[in-house]
Amino acid sequence: MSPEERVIFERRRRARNWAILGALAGLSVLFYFISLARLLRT
Amino acid sequence: MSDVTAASMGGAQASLDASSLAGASEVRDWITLLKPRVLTLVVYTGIIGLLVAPVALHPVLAITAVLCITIAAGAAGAMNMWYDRDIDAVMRRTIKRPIPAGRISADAALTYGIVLAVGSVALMGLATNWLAAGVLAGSIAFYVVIYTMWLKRRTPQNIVIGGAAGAFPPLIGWIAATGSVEALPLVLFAIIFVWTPPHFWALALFAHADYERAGVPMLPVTHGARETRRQVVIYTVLLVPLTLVPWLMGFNTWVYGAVAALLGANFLRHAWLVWRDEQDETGVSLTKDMPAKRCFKYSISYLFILFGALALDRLILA
Repeated sequence: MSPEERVIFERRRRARNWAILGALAGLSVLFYFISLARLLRT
Repeated sequence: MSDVTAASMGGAQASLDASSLAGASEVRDWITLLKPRVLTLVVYTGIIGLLVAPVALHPVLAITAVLCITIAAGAAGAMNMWYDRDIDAVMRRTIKRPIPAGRISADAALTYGIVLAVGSVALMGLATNWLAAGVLAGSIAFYVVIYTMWLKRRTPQNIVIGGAAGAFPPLIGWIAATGSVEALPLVLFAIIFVWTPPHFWALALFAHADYERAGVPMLPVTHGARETRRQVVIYTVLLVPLTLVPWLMGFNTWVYGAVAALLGANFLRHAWLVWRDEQDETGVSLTKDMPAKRCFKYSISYLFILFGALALDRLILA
């Protein structure tokens, strides 16, 4: 792998990790509010 | 700064710029796998299903339900692109999709689709009810297995039966809110089901060369353009009275009935123009299928306005 390809590869991997972290954080927040809404409903 | 250092820094900067662009385009590719243009209609009709339901869902749960419908439809789209990658590679309309273009591997697309499908169904079940989750799972399976894997390459009736997959969102929205199935969401399902053939066949009339190249037995390929035009008219004639059912059954007022009748009359006019298009003795259009292109465009606006009128009428007047 050339240095340029390595930079692109690492950049992509970092972007993907951030995306997964964002999705997990978003889901956590969503689950929190879903729980609240369901508790309020009952 | 020496020339070598400057050149090396310039190279690194160029590489960073290229990698930023690569990152952005990669994100775009993953979004493309979800078929975002198709999602617009799915989200819209799903929201309408929620709005017309007699039970008001908590806003957080309603947003979650719409999110689940959207993700599930996107997941089905990704699995469709995974299965259809061979025909996508020979159709002009689809050749630039991420899998045939080699930007995303087929295995990665399939994994992505499965993870999103399972996640959206589980989330729907946890947030609303398991009947809605079950119907959501059924709609994904219908689109991927019944339509994509079974019907699409075997019969010109592919989009008639497969059209049911796109008709699920209002039904799922309603079930998410109420936990039960009633007549109105089934009528909404039927409207989208009967609307799909004239919508898709209008598209197939001007894109049939692509389908022919890919060996997909769309109606214009197997039965010719003339028969396809006739079928567009038949299904539009069936559709218009069906759109009046919510008014006739008392779910909506005459205002909706009038809007549906006017919209339907215009759809019939478009279908008539498609049928009467100038054509040679084999049925090939001499106008580059202009009436079919107009009919296709109108069919999209038609469904948006019809469902919007139905929801507004029910929320404000009914």
